[in-house]
Amino acid sequence: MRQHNLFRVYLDKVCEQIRWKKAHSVVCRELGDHLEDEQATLVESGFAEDEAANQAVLDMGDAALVGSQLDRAYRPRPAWGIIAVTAVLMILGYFARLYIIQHAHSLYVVDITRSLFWLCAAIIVMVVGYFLDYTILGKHPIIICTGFAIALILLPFVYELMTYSLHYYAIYGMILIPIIYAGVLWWWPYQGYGGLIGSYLSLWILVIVGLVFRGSISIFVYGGVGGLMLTAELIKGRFKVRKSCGLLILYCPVVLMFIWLWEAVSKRLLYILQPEIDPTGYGFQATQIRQVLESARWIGQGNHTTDYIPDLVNSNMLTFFIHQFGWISLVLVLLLFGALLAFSATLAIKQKSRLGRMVSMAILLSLAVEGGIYIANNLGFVTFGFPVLPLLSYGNAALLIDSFLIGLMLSVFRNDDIVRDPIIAPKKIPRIKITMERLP
Amino acid sequence: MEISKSLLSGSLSLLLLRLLEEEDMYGHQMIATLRQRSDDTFALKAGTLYPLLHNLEKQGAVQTYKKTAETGRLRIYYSITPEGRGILHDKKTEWNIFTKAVSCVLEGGQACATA
Repeated sequence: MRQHNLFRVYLDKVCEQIRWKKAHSVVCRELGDHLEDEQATLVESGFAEDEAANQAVLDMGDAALVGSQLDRAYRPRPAWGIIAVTAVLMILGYFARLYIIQHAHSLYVVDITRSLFWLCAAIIVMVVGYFLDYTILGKHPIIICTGFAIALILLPFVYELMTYSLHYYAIYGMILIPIIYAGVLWWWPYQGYGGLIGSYLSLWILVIVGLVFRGSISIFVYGGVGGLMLTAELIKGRFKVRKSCGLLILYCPVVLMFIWLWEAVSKRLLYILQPEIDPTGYGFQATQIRQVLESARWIGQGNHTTDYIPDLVNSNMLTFFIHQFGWISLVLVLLLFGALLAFSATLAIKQKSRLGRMVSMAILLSLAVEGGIYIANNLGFVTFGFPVLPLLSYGNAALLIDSFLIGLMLSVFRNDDIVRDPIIAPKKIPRIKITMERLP
Repeated sequence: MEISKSLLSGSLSLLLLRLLEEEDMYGHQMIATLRQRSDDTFALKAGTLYPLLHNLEKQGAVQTYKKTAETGRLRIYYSITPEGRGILHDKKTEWNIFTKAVSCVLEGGQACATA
């Protein structure tokens, strides 16, 4: 049904008073529905259509007054706590790199002017993420997911055309897997065991495609974040299946994979705990880190040399600072990083929109996993993946992607008041019936 | 007799939360129920209702969801949250103290003196 002209004029007047443009559609929809309800009631009680429309508008009250009251109710909500901690971490990261370049040897040459350029670029990318409409992840999940998968598949083929560094940096794209999967999982309209298996398969497709792109074990870490989100949805009853059976479906393949790869996995776990027995030589760095940390003090410089630890600027920045200033450096990083995660978790849990909650949780978990791996590596546990301490180290591609993700998370929190989940009618994957008939 | 706006404005959120304590409602339904229960005394304008509801939502006292009504129209329903129930309890207590005190004053302090 077309909206009455009087209603449109009234709603335009209301919206003129609301400064936050994104809130206009939410307000217009609700007030418009109310006007139409009121008009229908009046028509039922004997009013003519136009007369009823006029009366409905009069019953609403003064448009300018309503608009100004709604303007006070609808204001974007910047998460100042997160913005402040992010700014502190970014600035600290830049000055930490500057300090290390001047005070430590490093196998990697770092141009501090270039580093400043990346810091500025990261701020711009974060602002872009902040103003981006994150609901696009839920509106076009299949297009985004397919595009991402195609990019991952094609990258090895265009490898020859790319420089090594570009190919290397592209690995950071893996960090995007959890948010892309959050969009798919939110949109996924199928219920029942078929629906659960379908959504699980879509995650596995992303993981397998990631492996094709680059055989990094990190893909399992970010796939694991997606798995956690799927588990949470299952436990909340999203798929309307028995939870114990659903958990069996989700975790049987994981257990089977572990059994299949047990020899390699058990060795890897052993080398994490005892890096000195690693025959491949990867444990050397962890052994050196442990020796440096053994001599570290609570406050003040340790006695052991850091000369045998490569890449102090990036991969082992935290080890260097523990050596240089004491364990207090680790405490400071844990406090700042913990504050970022705690502020984000508090807001993510409170999100009214399920999509907002899922996207912000996906970003939060990705940052937590990244930071956890980095800190473990810097404490002498050679884990796996690319060690990145969000916003602190590295300073280039990883900083850009993490800044974008934090910007996107801030966009979720900012738009909490106006993003509402649409109703998606649950579907069951249709069963295919195959019947055989005897030919005459 | 028409009730003064200033008298009503302070107690509107109490009335709305009380309605939502019974069942989830949409805006139009709230206005109609309020009018009916108050014998047409509280004839609330929609323009007053929605800003108030949106502020209650911001405080976390109510939450919204969409539901298709029998007529086929998609409506935004409001439901009270546990936090909203706490606010309602506090507001009720506040209201009882306030009305009792007003009665005491209006009756020349006699009701309070005997209590």
